Amino acid sequence: MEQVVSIKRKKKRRNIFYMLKEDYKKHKLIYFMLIPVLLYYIIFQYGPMLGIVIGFKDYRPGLGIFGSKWVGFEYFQHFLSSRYFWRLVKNTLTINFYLLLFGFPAPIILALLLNEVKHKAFKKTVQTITYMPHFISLVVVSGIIVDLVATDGVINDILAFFGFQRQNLLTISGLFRPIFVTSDIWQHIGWGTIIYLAALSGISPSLYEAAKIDGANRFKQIIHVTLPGIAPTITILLIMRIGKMMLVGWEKIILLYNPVIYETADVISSFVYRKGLLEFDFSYSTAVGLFNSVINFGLLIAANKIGKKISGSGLW
Amino acid sequence: MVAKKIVAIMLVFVMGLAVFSGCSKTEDNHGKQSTSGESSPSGSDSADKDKRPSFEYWHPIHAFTAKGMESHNEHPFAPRLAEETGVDVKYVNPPVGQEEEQLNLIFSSQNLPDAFHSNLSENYKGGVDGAIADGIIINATELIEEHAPNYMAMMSADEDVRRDSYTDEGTIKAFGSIIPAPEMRGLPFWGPFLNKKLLDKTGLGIPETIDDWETMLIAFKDMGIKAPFTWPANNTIGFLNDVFSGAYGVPSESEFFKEGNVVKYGPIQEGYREFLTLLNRWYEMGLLDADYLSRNMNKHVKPMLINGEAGATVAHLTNLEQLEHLAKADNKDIDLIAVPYPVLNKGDQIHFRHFLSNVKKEATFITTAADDPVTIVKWIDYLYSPEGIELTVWGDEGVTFEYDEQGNKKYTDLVENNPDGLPFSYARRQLVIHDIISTYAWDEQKIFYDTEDQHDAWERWQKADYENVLPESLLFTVEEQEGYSRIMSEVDTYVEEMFTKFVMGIESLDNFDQFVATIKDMGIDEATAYKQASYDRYLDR
Repeated sequence: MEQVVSIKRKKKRRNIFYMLKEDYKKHKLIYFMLIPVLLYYIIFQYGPMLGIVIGFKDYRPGLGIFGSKWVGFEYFQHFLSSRYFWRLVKNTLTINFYLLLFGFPAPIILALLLNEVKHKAFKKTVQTITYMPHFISLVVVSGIIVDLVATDGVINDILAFFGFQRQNLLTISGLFRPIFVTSDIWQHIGWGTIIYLAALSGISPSLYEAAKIDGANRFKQIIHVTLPGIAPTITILLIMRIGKMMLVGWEKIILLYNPVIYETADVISSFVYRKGLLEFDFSYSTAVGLFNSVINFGLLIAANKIGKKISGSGLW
Repeated sequence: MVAKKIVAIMLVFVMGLAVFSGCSKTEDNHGKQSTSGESSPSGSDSADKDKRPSFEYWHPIHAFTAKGMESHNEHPFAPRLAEETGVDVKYVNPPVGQEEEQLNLIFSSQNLPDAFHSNLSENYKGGVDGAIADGIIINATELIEEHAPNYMAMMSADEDVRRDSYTDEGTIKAFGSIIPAPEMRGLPFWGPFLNKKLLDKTGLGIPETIDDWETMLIAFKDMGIKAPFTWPANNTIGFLNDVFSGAYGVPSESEFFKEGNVVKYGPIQEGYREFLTLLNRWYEMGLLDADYLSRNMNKHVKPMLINGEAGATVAHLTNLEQLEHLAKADNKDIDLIAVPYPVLNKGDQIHFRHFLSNVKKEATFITTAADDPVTIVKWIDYLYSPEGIELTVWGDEGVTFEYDEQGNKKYTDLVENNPDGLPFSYARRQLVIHDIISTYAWDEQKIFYDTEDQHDAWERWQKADYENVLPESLLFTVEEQEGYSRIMSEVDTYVEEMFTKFVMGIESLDNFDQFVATIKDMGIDEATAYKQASYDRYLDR
């Protein structure tokens, strides 16, 4: 019995090593090409991670990271006891929840619709137009949004036509999230469809033929063939999306918000930006950022577990 | 097959190299071994050059200067200055707009230049004394007192300047940043102005009181002007520069002020309620720009004034001239005049207004990396000598400046009407090494703010004084600083938020008492005590 176990272990160990070796022999060049990628991750992704240590220190640039004094969890305590803590967490989660609820399905729906279009030229045109906004700089996009919702902007022109009073829509706290989410969908919907369209093209046409023979109409075909076909892709993207539940890009927020709508618009990342870059409080800023990442990490693991249980596919 | 392999291997190498060179390049930018200084043209032979002492000087480059050259090393006056002082300076210029980030990178990379020019009290946690304690800069007090006669003479000539130049610990805090001309002390550069063409149409006189302003703004409104009053709020509560609030005896932002020797916090005063009530009433009446919050000077306020969509604003002195210049090019008929800071009742005296402090916050600091601090001290002191001021402000006689009939200095046509078509403000910096001066020469300022309107502006704005404004050079101890910023960063956010809500009527002014209570709850009394303590120390300096 013991012998069997040891042989098994040996075999297994040899197996991985052996496999790697065999693989290396076969694809030497590919392993060489891996070097720059590894270096990139080590230098630019993992290296800077050591910097999070300043979240636990009273970081003073003159003393350097190692020379600065340890303060433990002081900055975390500051943040947790801050008057704005709950508001920031709530806003971050709410905006993300809206993005998940409306922003996540949008490209799937568009991809399904595009998939049904048989006219090639029309399909290509729609695709090009919808993913164009993805390439516009955020500063420009925000500029466009600010102009659109200004008191004398187009949206107010339309509202005024129907008898509403003119008002700068970005000064109404209740409207910030809709404006943010709508513009986000507009900007990224086309880009998001690419991956789904790729997944759709992988579904075997024979499945559709079989469904047709069984008497399924086009709607039924979507429900029973198309959707299950892209389900793994959807699950993986959903898990990755949930892993970012506590993240909102600060650039767009700080370009759009103003003091009147801090109440709904101020999120953790914009707070970190104000603290770290405007008040030079690097340690505090790092601590808040780390807090955020830890929660994201937890969410990602949870989402992966649930995803695996429900659909059997996950990230790992 | 072989060819394919070779191509692939080369590709890998190129990519790998790109990664490495990417890193080393950024290192080089702030590295001490920066070679940028060596390209500076020098008239003298190389043997002579070797003998000259030299130091590396990190200094921001003005955007106007940067249009004509990469760095100050290429400036036509850099070699002249080296010759006069016998010191070679290697200038290191951060990219325009990234000065603060670059400086912080230098601090954390520990690759210090010999000297740098910046606002250390705001850009470094703990300010000047903190930077000395952390070993970034040296305490140059004794060196300066011994080796900088010109600077010391200027600093000691005025009690306020002397007080502003030292920290509570007796360290010279800002070497190289004085307004020497008594005529310029306390001069206002920001204030209210309006379009006189519109005012004339209403038949009203120049507004002096808040009521005059209201009558005038209502008249503007009735004439169909979209935004009778607007200001570049830039999504903050800033840029009103105490206009209107001064009439109620409070500053316009989240600020501390003094009454006698007692420090108080503005937004919790009764006057602040009245100030907010006024703005709120004007907003509801449509006298304020409905979109004032998102207004930006260049993008919105300027075009609105030129097109007659706005009647009055608060802006910088240079805007007076610029705007009329722009309007002329557009064939628009405007005539801007500065008007006094409004008062509540005729004859009142305002104690809040914009003014230029005697000691600028940006100054030169000598780092611990400097081998020969005395040379640096002497070099900077040269900038304060009469010859140094002439060279850095005016340049060479006969080339960039000449004397007029009255014996006053005057820029030549090379600067003022540049043959290559450079605008005056660009030419002034590209032809004369203006960026590195730390003194203001009054003769030159007079030329720069030359129009009659601008001189009127000074006269009218100066009717207000700034007795209740706290000096800029108050300093905290490290503990005070920590407590103060912990309290104030929350208070500032809260006040900013509530200010706009009160003005726009989103929050009723009946809740003002609640607002005051919340601020007290956040610990404003503690923060006020810190301010008071630092003000007391300031008076003792």
